[in-house]
Amino acid sequence: MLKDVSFGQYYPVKSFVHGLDPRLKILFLIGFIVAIFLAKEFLALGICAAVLFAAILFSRVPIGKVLRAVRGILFLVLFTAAINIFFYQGERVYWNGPAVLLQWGIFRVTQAGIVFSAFLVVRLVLLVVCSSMLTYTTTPVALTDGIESLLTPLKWIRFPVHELALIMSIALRFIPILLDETERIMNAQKARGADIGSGGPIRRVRAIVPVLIPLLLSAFRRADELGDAMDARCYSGGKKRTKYKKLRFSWRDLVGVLLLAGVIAGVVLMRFYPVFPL
Amino acid sequence: MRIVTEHLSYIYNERSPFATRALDDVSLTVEEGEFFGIIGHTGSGKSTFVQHLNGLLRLPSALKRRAKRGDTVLTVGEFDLADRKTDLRALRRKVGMVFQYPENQLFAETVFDDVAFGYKNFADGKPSQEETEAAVRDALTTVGLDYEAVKEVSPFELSGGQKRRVAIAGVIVTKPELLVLDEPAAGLDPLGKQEIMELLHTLHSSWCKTVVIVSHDMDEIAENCTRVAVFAEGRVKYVLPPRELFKRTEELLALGLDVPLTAKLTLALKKRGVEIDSDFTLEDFAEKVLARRRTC
Amino acid sequence: MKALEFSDVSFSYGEEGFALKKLNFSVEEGEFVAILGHNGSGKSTLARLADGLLTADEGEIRVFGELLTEKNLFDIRKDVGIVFQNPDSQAVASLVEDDVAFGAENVGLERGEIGRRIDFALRAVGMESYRTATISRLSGGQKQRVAIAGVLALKPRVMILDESTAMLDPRGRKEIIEVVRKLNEEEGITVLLITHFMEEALLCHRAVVMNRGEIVMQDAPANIFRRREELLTYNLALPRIEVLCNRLREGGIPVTDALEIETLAEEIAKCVS
Repeated sequence: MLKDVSFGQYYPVKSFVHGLDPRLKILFLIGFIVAIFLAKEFLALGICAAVLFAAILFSRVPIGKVLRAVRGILFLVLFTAAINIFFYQGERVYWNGPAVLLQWGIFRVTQAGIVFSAFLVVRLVLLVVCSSMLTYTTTPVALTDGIESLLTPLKWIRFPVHELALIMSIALRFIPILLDETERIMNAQKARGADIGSGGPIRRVRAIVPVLIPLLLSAFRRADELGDAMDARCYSGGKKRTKYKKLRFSWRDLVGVLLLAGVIAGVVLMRFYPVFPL
Repeated sequence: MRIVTEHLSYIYNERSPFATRALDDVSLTVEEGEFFGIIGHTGSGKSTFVQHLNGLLRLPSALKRRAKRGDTVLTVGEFDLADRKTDLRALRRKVGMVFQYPENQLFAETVFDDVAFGYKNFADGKPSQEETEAAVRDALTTVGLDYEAVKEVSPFELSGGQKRRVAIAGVIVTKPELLVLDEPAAGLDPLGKQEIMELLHTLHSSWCKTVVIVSHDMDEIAENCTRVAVFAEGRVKYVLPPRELFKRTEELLALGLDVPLTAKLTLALKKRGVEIDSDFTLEDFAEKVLARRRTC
Repeated sequence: MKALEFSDVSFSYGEEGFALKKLNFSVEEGEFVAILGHNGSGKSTLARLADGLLTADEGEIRVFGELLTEKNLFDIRKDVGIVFQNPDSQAVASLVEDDVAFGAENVGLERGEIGRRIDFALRAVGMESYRTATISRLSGGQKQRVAIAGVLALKPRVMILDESTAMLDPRGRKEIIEVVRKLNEEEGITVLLITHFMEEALLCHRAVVMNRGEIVMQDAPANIFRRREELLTYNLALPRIEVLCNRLREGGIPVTDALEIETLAEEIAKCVS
């Protein structure tokens, strides 16, 4: 039952965003990340945030669920913010009052510092939210298919794209099984009095051996069985192979392309022709 | 050890889209000295239930419990599992648990080390070499292995049936009073199955006063158990001795469960106007049929 | 025609003695054969040899008359499908249809044909409504039916089940046996059922008993189970129904060896008041 919570972020509902071609979503994510990094002003980030917000609404993934992804990097966010608040050197004045609000030894809180760290926080949150939106709305299978398809040009330089994709898809399939197995073995050893997850570092490492060894053995055994099962079904590498599922563009993909390409282009343009520069 | 459960419920992944109710208001009592059977489909809640018996799954915290389920009771022997402060180590020493395919938990370099693992974990302080040796020897001998011959062997070199015995020895090495087994004979060949059941009877009459066994094999249940609980969709449908339970063959079949061969025959004979009243063991059934024989 | 033919086949795993010794064995096309034997009797070795997953040390293996060699392995595997024991280690993909497609993709079929093969295979195992389901959420019996479908998508003429029911609950076992029986009767697929559940052997045309790498008994299941003492020496137990029949016969009720519940009940009813 461990597998259901911790494996994959996929949120199983049907929506416009879920139905988009995974290749598009991957490309968008990359484009979006680039745009966010290029953004130099709040307006640009605001546009990104608005688009992302719309995407969340259309995806029918609850906002709370999306924000939970941010919780994972909360420490990083706070740390970045703190560093910038205390050490940012800018002198620009944004509102009535002294440019330097507080000076204490090497620590210096300035108006510019507060504004800049707010900017960084928004940027980080946007990055995390848009990445997790990809995993919330795309099944692992679609994700590997998308990656394989996008990497196809690399076949020209003999990069084993097919094998890589197969490895990824098998890994994805076995993660829940191995998580389940880990839980089972842990339970069995706990029932035999094993004290897992307490004590000092050396005790912890030693306590993991009775779980790790059976787990590895079982993984090897499964790999062996899977190899046989693949051989028996005539697997012989990617050469003669055909593919049943072809990713295909649809009208909604077109809508998505136009919409997002516009936004990304706009945000990138704003880097060179800023409206409200920081 | 006496097991008392009242109004026990359990939900996996509460408050997530994957929430599943595994136990729904389960109440049942297992008396000390019983050889208690639990049957039901995969996913009927039986595995979730047995994992409560040694605290691997816990009741929701005491506070929430009082508010929500007021009257939930779960005690195993002298241990109150509704109490957060219960000493789980002491509990687990007295409640041995054998999971499905227990040979998958073997990890040590030698059979001796693997069996000794549980003994050392549960000992108060560090046990002497002699104490450990005596306990391991006892456990291995009880499961029918030759101590001298196997103690230095790697557990991974043994045959399937032997591995399982070593795994069981690793659980009973603390001489638990209650032994819980989840399908102990699964995957073994017929002879291996028979041997495991014989082993359980030996244990029942020596160390482990109370035995709880989860099984899919209805013949096994009919032959061995004092009483049987039937789980379906997280609830307990019946708790009856086999003699009573398998009179309800049609109801069990409607639940999609199997029944022993003898029960199927009893039903087929009933349709032909022959009533056989047996306790559903093969021996007794044959005897009752033969008693009704007339010359033909 | 002989679907499988082993002539003087020997095989050993290293130094631990022979797994198979000069084995001679054949299966007719369309037959449904059970192979029985305790753990380690060589039954799985036999299955792996027939599919070319292992190579014989000595002797010849023919599949539909064609000698199995390194070169024609790929083609032979199209004809001989094999389903293994563990329902959790055979699927390559996460979704049912993707996994069923795997074999058909491997042999380079075009997409339309793969789609039709998936339809056919899933219908044959009664899983057509699970086409887009996630495999890890299925029951053991369903997982094994998907594994069978994955093999069926290659349209094999022989199907080997290597203890494919050993890890299932009774309901799952029943599902698998029914599917296999249907495949044998309706699709004419030759079936080799390797099992240690004696009850499953009762459904077969012929039962083969293996012991220490040799075939020691070969006959109709009912005849095999009549030789109780001999079976015991091979570490095999009788099906419960046979045990009961024996007990009744000893007590003077002359039941036959139909080994079928309704027939047995009929016979008992006749002799009992």
